[in-house]
Amino acid sequence: MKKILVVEDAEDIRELVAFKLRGAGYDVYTAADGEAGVATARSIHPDLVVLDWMMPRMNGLDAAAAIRADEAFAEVPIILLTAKGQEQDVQRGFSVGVDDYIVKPFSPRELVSRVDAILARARLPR
Amino acid sequence: MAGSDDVLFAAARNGEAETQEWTYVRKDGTRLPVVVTVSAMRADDDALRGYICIAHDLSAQRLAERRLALSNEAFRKAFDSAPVAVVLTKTDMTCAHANPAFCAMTGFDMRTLRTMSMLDLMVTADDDERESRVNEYEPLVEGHASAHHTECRVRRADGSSLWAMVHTSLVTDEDGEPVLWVSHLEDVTERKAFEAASRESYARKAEALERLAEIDRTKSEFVSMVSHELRTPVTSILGYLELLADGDFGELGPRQRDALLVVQQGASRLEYLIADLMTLRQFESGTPLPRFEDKVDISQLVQRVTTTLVPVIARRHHSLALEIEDDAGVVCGNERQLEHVVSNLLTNALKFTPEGGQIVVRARKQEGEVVISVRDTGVGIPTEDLSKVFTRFYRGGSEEVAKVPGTGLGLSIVKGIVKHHGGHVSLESQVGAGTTVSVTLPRLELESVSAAPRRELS
Repeated sequence: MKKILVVEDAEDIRELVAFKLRGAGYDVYTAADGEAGVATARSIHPDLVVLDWMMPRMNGLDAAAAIRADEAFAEVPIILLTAKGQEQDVQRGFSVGVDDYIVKPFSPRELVSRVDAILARARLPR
Repeated sequence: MAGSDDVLFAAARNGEAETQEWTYVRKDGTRLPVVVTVSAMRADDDALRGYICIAHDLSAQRLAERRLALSNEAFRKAFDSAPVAVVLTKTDMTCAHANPAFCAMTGFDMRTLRTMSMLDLMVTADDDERESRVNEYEPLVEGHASAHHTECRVRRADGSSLWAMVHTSLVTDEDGEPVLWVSHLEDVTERKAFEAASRESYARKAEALERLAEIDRTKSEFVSMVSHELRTPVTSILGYLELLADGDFGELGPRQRDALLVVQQGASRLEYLIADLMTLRQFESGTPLPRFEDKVDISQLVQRVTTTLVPVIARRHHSLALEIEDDAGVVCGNERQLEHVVSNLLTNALKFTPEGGQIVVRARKQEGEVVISVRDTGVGIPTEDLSKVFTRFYRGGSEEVAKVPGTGLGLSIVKGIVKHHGGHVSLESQVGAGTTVSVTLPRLELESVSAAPRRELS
């Protein structure tokens, strides 16, 4: 079963995403801030990470950079949850190695189909 | 000369030289002033042998003296009748002379002025200021400047004071030593008062503007904070509503489904409002927005957006006419924002037109531009309100308008987006007859669309 790490500080949204992803057949782990997210990533080696942008302690962008800096995670797909009005910053996200982004408020169904698509692509030989 | 020998030569006879001013008469009868020096000539035995008379012509000197007197007279008149206050000050700072205008300005008479030091006329805050003001005249004494101009407060006899512009120059002797200060004084009290009043009024206006700017900043921060804080709960609400509607928590009955639909619609409206506020904040923040370089085919875009609204148009029994040219043109910009513009114009037309109205959507090209327009047969906008419709939160004042849901943000966002794309919005309306809103955008030339690489588009 594919392992997905969801890093999001708002508990409601974290649980919502986790619920929907579990329903889609993924093994879901969660973390409530950027620092905890990076630590969890190191211990569970996820197949994909969903990162919220605005988080206390370490924001999503820095967390993405920290995860990418680790050789073991050079290839792990990252999806960033951003807010409207931050689209111009998304370019920065791509520059630190984010694979995709979804603007809040988002449809959980849409998130799951993006995750499916990225993991399907990741299975193909690069 | 006859008959006065004794007088004339008396001194000479006594062995002295005699000098006297005489008047000579020329042969032609004209007279000339002379100074005559007479000395006795004596033989070895001291016997008087004769006199030597030397006469100097004085006419040139007399002329110079007369000219000097005239010049003095001219100066005295100019000095006394000048409307400008003039004062001559000796090097010990006592007053040598002051003209009537100076006496009138200061209220001191000439006699009193002669007893005073001119420094006592200067009103200063303290000794430091007095010293620095006196030092300002140093370059004149040193010969580095020909005149000194300064504004200074001057004491009057009655204890009051005035502001004077003082122009001073220095008269020196042949060795360059100072002899006399010449100062002209101009009363500038009124001008100073006017300047002070202007400065004060400017300061007040600047303060008021700063206060307004502060209010505007606070408002922007508030809008930003509120929309940010609302986003998280709205994300939760919409997300969980979707789970409920998708049956993730079990199948719903028909009444539950209806209720859910109402909640979903409300939550969506909230989401749109937040999105609108965020878009506006972006336009207002002044931070440069990224340049989008989508090549947007306007004909396709207008067609697409209109199609999505066809069900609403049918529900309200409007008739729809599409007058879209096949190749209205391509615009360089952000496709999502341009969709927002068209959908906003159409939604407005639908909302403000009573059932059974007519909506005309047009897209056409004109010289270098693309024009998108939406015409309705709706309630219209009163002429006096036309200028306000682009203002945020403006909504028409009539009862009919109040019944229509909306935030009053739509057109200000449309304007923001269109402006960002280098275009403009215009509006024509008549109460009871309808409204036409037109958006004009710069068109990309077809050659560059097909042939030019992207970098030439920006």
